[in-house]
Amino acid sequence: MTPALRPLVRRALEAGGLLDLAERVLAGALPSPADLARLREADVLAVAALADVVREAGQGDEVLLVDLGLSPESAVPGAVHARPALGASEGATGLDVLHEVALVRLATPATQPVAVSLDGLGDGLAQAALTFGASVLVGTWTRRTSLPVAGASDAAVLARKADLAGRVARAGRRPRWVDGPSPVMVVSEGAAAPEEMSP
Amino acid sequence: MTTARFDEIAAKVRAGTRLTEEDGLGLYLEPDLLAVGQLANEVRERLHGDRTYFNVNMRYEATNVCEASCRFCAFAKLERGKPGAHTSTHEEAWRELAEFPDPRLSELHMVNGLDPNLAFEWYEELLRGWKRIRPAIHLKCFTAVEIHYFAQKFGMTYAEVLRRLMDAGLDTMPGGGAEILHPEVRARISRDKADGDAYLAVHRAAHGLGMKTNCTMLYGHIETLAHRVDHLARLRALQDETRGFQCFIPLAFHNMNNAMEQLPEPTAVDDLRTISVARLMLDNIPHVKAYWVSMTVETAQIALRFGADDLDGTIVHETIYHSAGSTVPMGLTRDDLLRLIREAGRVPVERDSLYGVVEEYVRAIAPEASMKVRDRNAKKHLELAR
Repeated sequence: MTPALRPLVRRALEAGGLLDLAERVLAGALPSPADLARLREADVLAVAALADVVREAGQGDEVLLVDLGLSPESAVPGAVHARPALGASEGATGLDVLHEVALVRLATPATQPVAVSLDGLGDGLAQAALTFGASVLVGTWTRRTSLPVAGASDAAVLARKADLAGRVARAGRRPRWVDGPSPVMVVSEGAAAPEEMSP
Repeated sequence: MTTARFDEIAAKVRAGTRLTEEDGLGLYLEPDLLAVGQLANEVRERLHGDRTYFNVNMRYEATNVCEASCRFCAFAKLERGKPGAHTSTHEEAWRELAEFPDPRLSELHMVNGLDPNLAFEWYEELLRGWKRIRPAIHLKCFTAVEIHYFAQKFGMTYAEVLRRLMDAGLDTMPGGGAEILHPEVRARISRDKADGDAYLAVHRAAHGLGMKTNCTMLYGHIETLAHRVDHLARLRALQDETRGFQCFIPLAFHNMNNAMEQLPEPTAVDDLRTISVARLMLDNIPHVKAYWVSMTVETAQIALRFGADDLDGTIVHETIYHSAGSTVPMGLTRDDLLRLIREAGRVPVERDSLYGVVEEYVRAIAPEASMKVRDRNAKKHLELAR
């Protein structure tokens, strides 16, 4: 069944001339490079709202938390990482990154999750990305050496996990821990690759 | 909240009908943050279009010696002589302004501890000295908590305190010290300073003298969402009466080096939602500020699409939040602020302290060049790990 748009989202998309595009995306089509160029220039909240509908339809409310410290092999092929070159003076700004997350979500089949890097973005921006289409948080909170016995952990790791679970919950999502090699595949090629998104 | 209920609130917002406290609570509980943000953004654009304000300002804290013992505070040192306690001399304070490097500096924003050792005349002379150095500088100084303290300590009414400070050069008051106005919360986090009614009474007195002020809310500690909405409603009620508030500034609780370290800090989605709910509830306060020191530079920029229309200013040297663990820069340049605003798709407007326009900047660099920047950014921050 095609996911429905809330009236507010419909209105925002309509105002941006994106309703036809949105309906195609919601019917399962991936946006063309020309579509992506339009979305890149569109109101970021309208794009995010569309991405969030796609995320909800394909991924539900679950957020996977992938621990690279425990299983570095979780850095799966195709994973999208935002680099930490954030700040006022150089690199991408926070809104740039969130806009890209939403575009990647729209350019990726709904059944495949989109990940963001906690280490790269920082906790705040990574949490905000959950409302812009991301459904996987990749980060490092466990060191192999801290786990001499299966199931054991130290206080810092537990506190960090509790903090992350809280952030996910406060974003209105349910956390699921991925403590082993991850099956997560995050695809961005073919649609959101920058060279194809240029007008 | 059901979709129908949200749509009902949205219809009220579009019709210009005042939201109730129940509506405000509903917006806090609405799971779809983007929907709340979009609604707030509609109001923000209706009021200000794409214009986004900032100023060239400096922060100053003349003393961190303080009689109050607020549980959230990491800035105050209770007594002189304690490690970290500091009270400036007049000369030090004046030199800071005299040596400020940016000639476009328009505002000096000062907030202090409640120092029992300083005479009222000391503050008056401090202001007079600053005005001697830069007569055009706008002095935004003293929270309502400080004014209340002066009134009690020196046996004056609020209006008398304010008149004397205005005679010495005070132009406006910042909004700090509001914390949470509801007595249930205030009694637990800051019981030995001005209460919520006193905070409002000081601002009422200032507005009565023709002075503009700002207002704040410290959120994300022990208060409930209902307390936050109650706080907004109290500010809105005073604004109905006086029309003296220019701007509302939500301040996120930080949990380092204070008596509430065990509490988690509010998260980015809390920050954005609070900006949005404030924009929607405070229908009579013109501006909502995303104070980047409080909510990080990144989140403050995002907030410009969630209802905020002001990024504060360059600040240069802030110590209150940094004492409580903030890791944001101590200051931003004008170019930093311009870039953040433009990259949010907004038009930067450099303002003075009363929202007069100092300079309205072009929206962005030429569209073709802008596209190249965006492409370069996309390449920078999207990495395909293979």
